Amino acid sequence: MNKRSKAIGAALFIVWCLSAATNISCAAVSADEIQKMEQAMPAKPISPPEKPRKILVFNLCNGFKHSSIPYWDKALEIMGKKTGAFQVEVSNDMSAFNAENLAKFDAVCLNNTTGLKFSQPQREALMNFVKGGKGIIGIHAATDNFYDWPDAAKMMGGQFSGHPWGGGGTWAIKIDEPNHPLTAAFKGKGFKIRDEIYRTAAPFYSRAEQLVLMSLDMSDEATRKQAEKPSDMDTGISWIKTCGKGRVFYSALGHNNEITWNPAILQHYLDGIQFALGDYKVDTKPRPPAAREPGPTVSAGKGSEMDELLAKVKTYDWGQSRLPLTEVSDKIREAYGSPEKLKEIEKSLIGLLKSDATPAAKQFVCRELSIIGTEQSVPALAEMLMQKPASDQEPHPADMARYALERIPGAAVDAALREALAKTIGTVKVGIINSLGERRDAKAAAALSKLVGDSDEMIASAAAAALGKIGGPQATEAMAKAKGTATGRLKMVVLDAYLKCADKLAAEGKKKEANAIYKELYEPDMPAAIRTAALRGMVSTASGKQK
Amino acid sequence: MTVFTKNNVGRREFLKRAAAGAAGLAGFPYLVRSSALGKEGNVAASERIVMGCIGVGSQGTGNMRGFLGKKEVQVVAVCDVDAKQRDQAKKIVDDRYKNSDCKTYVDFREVIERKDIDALSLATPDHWHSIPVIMAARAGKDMYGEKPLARTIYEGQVMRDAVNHYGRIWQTGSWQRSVHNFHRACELVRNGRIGKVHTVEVGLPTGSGTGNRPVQPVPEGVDWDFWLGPAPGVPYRGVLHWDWRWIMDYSGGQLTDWAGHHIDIAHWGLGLDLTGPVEIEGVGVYPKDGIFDAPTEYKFTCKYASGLTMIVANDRQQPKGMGTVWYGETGWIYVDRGRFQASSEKILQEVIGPNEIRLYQSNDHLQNFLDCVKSREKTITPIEVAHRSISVGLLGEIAMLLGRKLRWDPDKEVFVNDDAANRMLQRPMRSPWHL
Repeated sequence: MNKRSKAIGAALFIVWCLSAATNISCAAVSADEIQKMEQAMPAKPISPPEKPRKILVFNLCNGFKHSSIPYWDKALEIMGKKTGAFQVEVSNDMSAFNAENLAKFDAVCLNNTTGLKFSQPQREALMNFVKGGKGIIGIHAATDNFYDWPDAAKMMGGQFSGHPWGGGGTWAIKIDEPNHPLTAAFKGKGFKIRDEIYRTAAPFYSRAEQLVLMSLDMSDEATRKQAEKPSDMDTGISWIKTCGKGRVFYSALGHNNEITWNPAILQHYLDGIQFALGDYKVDTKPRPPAAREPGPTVSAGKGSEMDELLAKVKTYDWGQSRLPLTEVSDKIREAYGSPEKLKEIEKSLIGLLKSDATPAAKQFVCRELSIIGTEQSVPALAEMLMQKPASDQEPHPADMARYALERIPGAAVDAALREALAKTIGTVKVGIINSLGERRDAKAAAALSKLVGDSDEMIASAAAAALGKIGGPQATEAMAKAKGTATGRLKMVVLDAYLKCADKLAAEGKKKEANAIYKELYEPDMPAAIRTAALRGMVSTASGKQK
Repeated sequence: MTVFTKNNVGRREFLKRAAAGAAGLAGFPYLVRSSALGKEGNVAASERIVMGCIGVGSQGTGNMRGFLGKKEVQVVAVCDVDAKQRDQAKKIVDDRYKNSDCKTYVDFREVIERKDIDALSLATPDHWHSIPVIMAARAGKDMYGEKPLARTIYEGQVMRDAVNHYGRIWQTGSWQRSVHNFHRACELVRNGRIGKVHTVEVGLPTGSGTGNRPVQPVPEGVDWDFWLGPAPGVPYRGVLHWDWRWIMDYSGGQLTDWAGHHIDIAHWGLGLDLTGPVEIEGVGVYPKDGIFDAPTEYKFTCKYASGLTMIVANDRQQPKGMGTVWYGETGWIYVDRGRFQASSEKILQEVIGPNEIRLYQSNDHLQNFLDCVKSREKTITPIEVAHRSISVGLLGEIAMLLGRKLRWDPDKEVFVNDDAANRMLQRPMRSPWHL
């Protein structure tokens, strides 16, 4: 040991003695560990404090006592000193909860407290404190309290209901609010951590009541395997909320001692604490999963297995767990070998399309129908071609329907698309034109030929491109005519389509007709690349004889 | 056996080849702008290849920097749906030329319509590969485009046909072909140094996309609707510049990202550049929850008409991990980035004789493109080759999604007697986009 480290060691020993005198719990933390905390601690506040701040760190346990309590007492003390964001006073005396004493503090931090029981005056003191504009901070077991005081459990945003994820395991955490300032410590990326995860149950834990910043990542197999019940799929880790004029920050992390020298977690705590103190203004608006009334049951209430699975899909929205969708996809995959089963499944899927299911659910179903759909899906999908989205934030029902229709074989699809072509306008019409083109529907050629002259360039271009794919006499004639009149973007599409019509003629052995078109397109006033392609065509059809 | 050679072709040679082409022989007179005809040494501004860069994220900017380092190139336009990337790219170009002439675009069509632009560097997300290529081909642009060539086999076919019909020069970003070890390994395999090849193993990275993302506001300066383009309409969830690779609407995950490298090399060594397997079967592991849905683990087997077996899998499921291994009757050769091994040292020392197959040689992938823009020769990775490389990845994707053995006709490019599989060769596009 050199002189310098001896001096540091001595200084730390003095600090340890001093803290031991005022706070019995600190004795458990070694000098080495304190050094780790100091190194890992953020150097400055995330936001400069508006005035000197003081936190009452409360650590009484009437139930299980966590060994990490002294670690958090120490970490918070170091955090406050190093960043200058706050001072701490540690206590385990219930009498601290009186209005006069609390008035000295800007926030109360429940450091792994368990089974706290408040008298009526103490309840009023704490509740008035928070609702009057102060903060409350919860570490890990802070939700393991208030079993006889629902209002406080509600204030905390959750109540302990077990910990299926033990402290010896490593669990995946996803960031639900990657752009929120309070998750900046994790740079928007989920992470894995070895810690015990405290589960909190509804109704106190509710995404409608608090803004959940991060939660367990159930796409991680090890994490998901520990889940005991469906509600475990949404296990919140950190959240914030308001309570009256006050602010609440809670994080379930902090069972294992080493969490108190994890730099990212400490930064997260500092940010959350400064929010609770009122120095760091951030958005607290809860983000509940889109609330939708459950509609009538799918498919005339036959109660098939697929219908039951789809009932869970009906309310699916983007950003929610995709598990119910995966279950449906897996069932469909299992049925691939059996056309009869697929027909039954298809009926159930159609039922969902006709229900008041969410757009996200219908989009999912259209994807599945694009692979297994048959002509029996056509009426429901054709109806969607005529529907409008509830807002421009939602995918257009016509695009969703086309995703399925375009891939489903059969004349009934072509007929439905042609029928819709005449009844639609704008981008919906363009989409239908595109689908008819991809399906090479020769029966649409006449209607599409007319649309090449449409005043809307988007419609005219789509029609020309579709005719290029379809080919045949009508398309060829339409392109010959449009070649002379089309301008701008439309012109390139028309010339391209005309070339394709010629290619088709050549492929059918009608080399003379094809050659005549290539010659037209090789004229000096044609764009360079068109001439290149035309010359290629001329060469390949020049010496050929009409078959 | 076809032997590609690289040489600069003068205008006179062009005309001779034009005559040969007219007589129905190989070769074709591609038209070329005077601005594209450069010489060694200083290149006059009017003689430079004028380029636009569409998609300037990490890969696109990397390619753009490469082109900026070439004296015969003048970059005049950058295009991206994210203002941040767009502005960054413009700054890089302007710093290079010490002016502020580089124009920025949100809409790639405006870049394609610029008559002064000869060539494009393309690096958009996979679901945005086909449409710009088809438009640019008919507008007469030459293109350096990123792998994987296309998101679907159908798009790849249409792209290939457009580029070749319009006589455009195309280079795929499968740059391993321009690296000595890969070239050398392929030449040894092609010339029978390990005997007749019966099995090939291709190891690609294991996928990692996990986690969920909430719906959130679109970042300022990002045109989300344009970013989605032909893909299904969904709200923004924080996936923009890299993570899209793990969502099947936009990409096929590590499998399709890397098919354009190690499967491409496998085909090259086998001389199977212009064909594909006849049978595909495999298993993929898909994330059951979260925003990402591309397979993380995957393994599929392809049988080729010759009886050859190709096993494509993520590295954890391959004996040698990442890279390409050819197993022949008398030995094996293994190549990966920075690794080149064989069953015996003697194989690695083998000399390729003058009358043996010599594969196209390039030691600078970007330069090879620029040379070909000038010479109108084929590049080392032309579009028809890139199409067949990614086709293997896409065939595997479909076989794993359907979970059954598929039979493929590599000439007609259709599945045999499998309606569902054939539906998956193409994807309906969100209006107004179309091929």
